[in-house]
Amino acid sequence: MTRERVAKFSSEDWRRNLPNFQEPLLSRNLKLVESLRAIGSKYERTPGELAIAWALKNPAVTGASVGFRNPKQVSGIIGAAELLLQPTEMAEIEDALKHQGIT
Amino acid sequence: MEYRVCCLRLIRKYREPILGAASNRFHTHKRSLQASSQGTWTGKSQMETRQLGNSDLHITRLGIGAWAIGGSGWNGSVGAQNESDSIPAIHTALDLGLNWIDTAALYGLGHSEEVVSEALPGRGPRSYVFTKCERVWDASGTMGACLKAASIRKECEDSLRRLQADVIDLYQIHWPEPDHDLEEGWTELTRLKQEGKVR
Repeated sequence: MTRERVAKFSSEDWRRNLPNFQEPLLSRNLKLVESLRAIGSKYERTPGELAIAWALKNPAVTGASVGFRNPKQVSGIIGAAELLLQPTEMAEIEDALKHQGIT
Repeated sequence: MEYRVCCLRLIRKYREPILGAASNRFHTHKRSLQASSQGTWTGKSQMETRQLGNSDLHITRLGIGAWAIGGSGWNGSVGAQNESDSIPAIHTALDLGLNWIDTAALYGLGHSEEVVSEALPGRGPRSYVFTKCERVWDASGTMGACLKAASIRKECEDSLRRLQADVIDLYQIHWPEPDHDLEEGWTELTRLKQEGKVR
């Protein structure tokens, strides 16, 4: 997600009214995206793939349903299926979450 | 974002034998389920699968979320969407080995289910299709919550029609509201399972 994409949400887009897509949470969330981008760059993985792979590490999670609108977006998430995060990466992600006040 | 409460477990106690050629999607579907339950999923890619709860479903770790492809025109839309994007997107994901699609009657007020139905034929082993009930809408598109037995039964029939399927692989309560009708809703889901409309 980017600030530009959020600005382009159509008037009927349900996300417009969600706190996570409005300030102050929007800036916080976008910082987290950049942290995920930095951690994922080692594997050439997108922030989205990192986020999904992190969710899949939870032993309570069997599978994650992921939305996409076109084939290009599929290529931005598909790597999550085979991305097994190591303890160091999990710790880096947890640190990034804590740093943004999300635990 | 959504609070998925219910996973009606899709255990089929008795499988009917597959008779003849796969003349429709339902037969194709049953065949693919049998294959996958024996650990021989025959998708183009071999992705890791996990057993969903105590069901006989073995799902890939990623699934296709069909909220956005419901498109615009309802309260909950995430913007306009073109089917000429949605269907190639679903095909790309299936070809990469994802084996389940999670839709809902609510998404596009039935439209997402119709797009899913349109995308599935001719894609090799059919994927599991999961959908949801309880979020209802009236003629003006105003949404409500209903767990009454008759309402859930009608929703199930409507979803089966839109999906052009005889059975729903996983039928979920979209949100557990209203609380005082939860037991009635669950009871009806159990009946639908006994009748074979839901696995």
